[in-house]
Amino acid sequence: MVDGALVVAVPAVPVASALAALLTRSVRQADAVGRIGALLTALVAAVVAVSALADPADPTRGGWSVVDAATGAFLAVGAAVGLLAAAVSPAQLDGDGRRLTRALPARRRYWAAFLLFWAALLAVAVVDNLAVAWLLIEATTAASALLVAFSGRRRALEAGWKYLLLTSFGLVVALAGIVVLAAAIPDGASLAALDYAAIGRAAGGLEREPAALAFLLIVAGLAAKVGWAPVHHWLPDAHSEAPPAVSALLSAALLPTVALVVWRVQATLGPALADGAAGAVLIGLGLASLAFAVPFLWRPLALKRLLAYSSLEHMGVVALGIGIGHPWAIAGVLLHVAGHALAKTLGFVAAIPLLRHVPDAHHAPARGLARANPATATAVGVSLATLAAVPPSPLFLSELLILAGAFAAGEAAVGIVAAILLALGFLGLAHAFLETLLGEDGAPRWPAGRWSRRLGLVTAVVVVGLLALTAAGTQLPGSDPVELVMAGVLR
Amino acid sequence: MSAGLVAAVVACAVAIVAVRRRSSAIALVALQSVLLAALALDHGVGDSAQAIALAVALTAKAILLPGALVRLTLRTRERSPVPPVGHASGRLALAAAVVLPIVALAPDAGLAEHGQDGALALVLLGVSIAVLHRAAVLQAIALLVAENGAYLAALAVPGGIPVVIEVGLVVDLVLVLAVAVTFSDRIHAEHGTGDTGRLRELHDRG
Repeated sequence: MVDGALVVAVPAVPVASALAALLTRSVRQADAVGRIGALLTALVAAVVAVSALADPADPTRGGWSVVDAATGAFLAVGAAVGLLAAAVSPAQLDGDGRRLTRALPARRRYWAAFLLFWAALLAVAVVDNLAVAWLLIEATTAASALLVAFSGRRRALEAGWKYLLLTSFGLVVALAGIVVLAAAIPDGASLAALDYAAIGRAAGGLEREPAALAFLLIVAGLAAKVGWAPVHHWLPDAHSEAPPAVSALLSAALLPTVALVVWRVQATLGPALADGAAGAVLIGLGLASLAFAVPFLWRPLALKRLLAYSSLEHMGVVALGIGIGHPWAIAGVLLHVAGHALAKTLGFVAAIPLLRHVPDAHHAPARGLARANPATATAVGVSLATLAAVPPSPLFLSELLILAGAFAAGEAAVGIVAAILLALGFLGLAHAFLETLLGEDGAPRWPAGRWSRRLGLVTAVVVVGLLALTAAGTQLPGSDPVELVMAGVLR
Repeated sequence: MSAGLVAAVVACAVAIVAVRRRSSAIALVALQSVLLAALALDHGVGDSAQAIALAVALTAKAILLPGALVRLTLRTRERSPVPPVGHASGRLALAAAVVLPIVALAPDAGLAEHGQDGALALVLLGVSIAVLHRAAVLQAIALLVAENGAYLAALAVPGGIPVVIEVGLVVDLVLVLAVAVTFSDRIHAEHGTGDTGRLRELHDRG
C-alpha cells in the first residue's frame, strides 16, 4: 500500500522545485536547486515505484491516482532518466558555446521548464483518469517545446515549432476521441466516468461504432505524441535539436509514458471493439514505425538524429508488444521500455562531450571515436550495441520475447514481418556502430578530462543496469510480475 | 443545438482559410469564440460551475488569447502579409475537398444534432489553415480553431463534459498558445519575418 501523500509528492516536488529555481539569484544557485529538486523528485518517485512493484497484488487507488505494477515500472523509468538528465544538465548548458544558455534568466527558465515537464510526465504515469492524463500530456507539450528550442539556434526553433504544432494537433484529435467516448458512456458528464476502471466496466455495454471511433481518434492522436509512424515527423527533428538531456527525457521517458496511456485505453476500451481490432491497430502502428525507421537507420546520420530514428524503431517494438498482448510479449514490453531508457539516455549523455569537442557532429555523422576519445567511444558503443539488440543486451531478449509472443498468439505473419524489419534495423545500427567507433577520417582527438571520468562512471553504472535487466528478463515470462502488470493495466 | 450558430462558427473558420492578413484572422477567431459562447448559452448552462467554466473559456478565447496575438502582430510587423499557399479560391476549394467528404462519411458519434458535423469541420479546417498558411500567427490561430472544434464537440455531448476538464482545457490552451506566441516572436527575430516557410533546414538526405 502506497501512502497517498507520497503519490501527491511525485508531481508536487518537481513543481515546487521549479518555482524555487525561478527565485534563484545566480547560475550556481539555479543549478543547485535544479539538481536537489531532481534528486528529491527521483527519490519520491522511486519509493512509490518500489512500493508498487514490491506489493503488486495490492494496487493503491486514490481519488485521482492509481499505483499498480504498471505505474511502478514506468515511474521507475521516468525517475531514473529524469535524475540522470538533471545531473548532466549544467555541464551540457555550460558547454553549449552560446552565452545565452549561461545567463541567469535562461538558466532559471531551463530548470523551471525541465522540472515542470518532468512533473507532468511523472503525473501521467500515476493518474487514473483518461481526461486528466490528456491534460497532463498537453502540459508536457508546452514545457518541452520550450526546452527543444532552448539553444535558440534556427534549427532548434524549427524543431520546436514543428513539435508544438504537430503534437498539439494530434492531441486535439485525441481530445475529440475522449469527447466521443464521454458521449457514449452512461453518465459521461462526471469525471469519474473517464477513470480507466470505469471505462473498462462500461466497455461491455458500449455500441461498437462510437466505441471504435473513440478508440481510433484517441490512439491516432496520442500516436502523434508517442511518435508512432506515420505521425512521427516531429520526432527526429525534436530529438536531434533539443539539448541532449532533454532529448533523453523526451525519448526514454515521455514516449513510453504516453504509450502506457495508449496501453490502458487499449486494455479498457478495446473489448468494446470487434475481437482483436484494438490489438491490430497497435500492431499496425508498430510495424509501420519499424518500416519507416529502418531506411533511416541505414543512412549516415548525426549521432542524435540516429538515436531519434532508433526511438521510432523502439517505440514501434513497444506498440507491437502491446498489440500482441500475449504474456511473453508483455514481458518483452516491460524489459524493452527499461532497457531502451538506459541505453538511449547513455547515448544522449555521450553526445554532450562529443558535440562540445566536435561541433560538426551536430549535423554530420561522427566517425573514429575510438581514436578521438575512448570514454565517449565506449559510451556511444554501449548505447548503439544495446539499441541494435546485440546479445546480451536486454533489448535482444525483449525483442525475442515479443516475437515469441507473436507466434504464441497465432500472429505468425506479424512475427515474421517484424523479425525481418528488426534484422534490417540491426544491420543498420551495427554499421553505424562500426563507422562511429572505427570509421576513417574521424573526429579530432580530445583529451580525457573530468567529463571523460564521469562518463566512464555513468557507462559502468548503465552496463551493470543493462546486465541486471537481462538477468531479470530471463525470469519474466510467465512470472507473477508480468501477470500483475497485465492485471494492473487491465483491471 | 442551433444550426444557425453552428454554421456561423464554421463560417468564421472558412473565412480564416481565405484571409491573408493576421489582424483579420485574429478578429475572426475572437468572433468564433464569442459565437461558441453564445452557442453554449443557447444550449443551456446547467449550474453555476458550468457558468463559471463558460466565463473562463470566453475570457481566455475571445479576449486574452486574441489580445496576446494582437500584441504579437504589433511587435512583429511585416512589410506585407506572409503569402499563403495559392489563391483564396484555391485554398477554399482544397479545404472543402478535405472537409466535406469526411464530414459526410463520418459515423454517428452520438453527439447533438449539427454539433458533430460542426466540430469535425472545425478540427479539419484548423488543420487546413495550418497547412495552407505559412504565417506563424495564422498557424497558432489554426490550433485555436481546431481546439474550438473539440470544444464544440464537448458542448454537443448530452449532459456536457466534466467542468474540471473544461477549465483544464482552457488552461492548457492558454499555455500552448503562450508558447506558440513565444516561438512566433523568436521566429520573427531570427528570420526577420514570421514566415514558417523559412523553417526548412531540417531534413534527411540519403
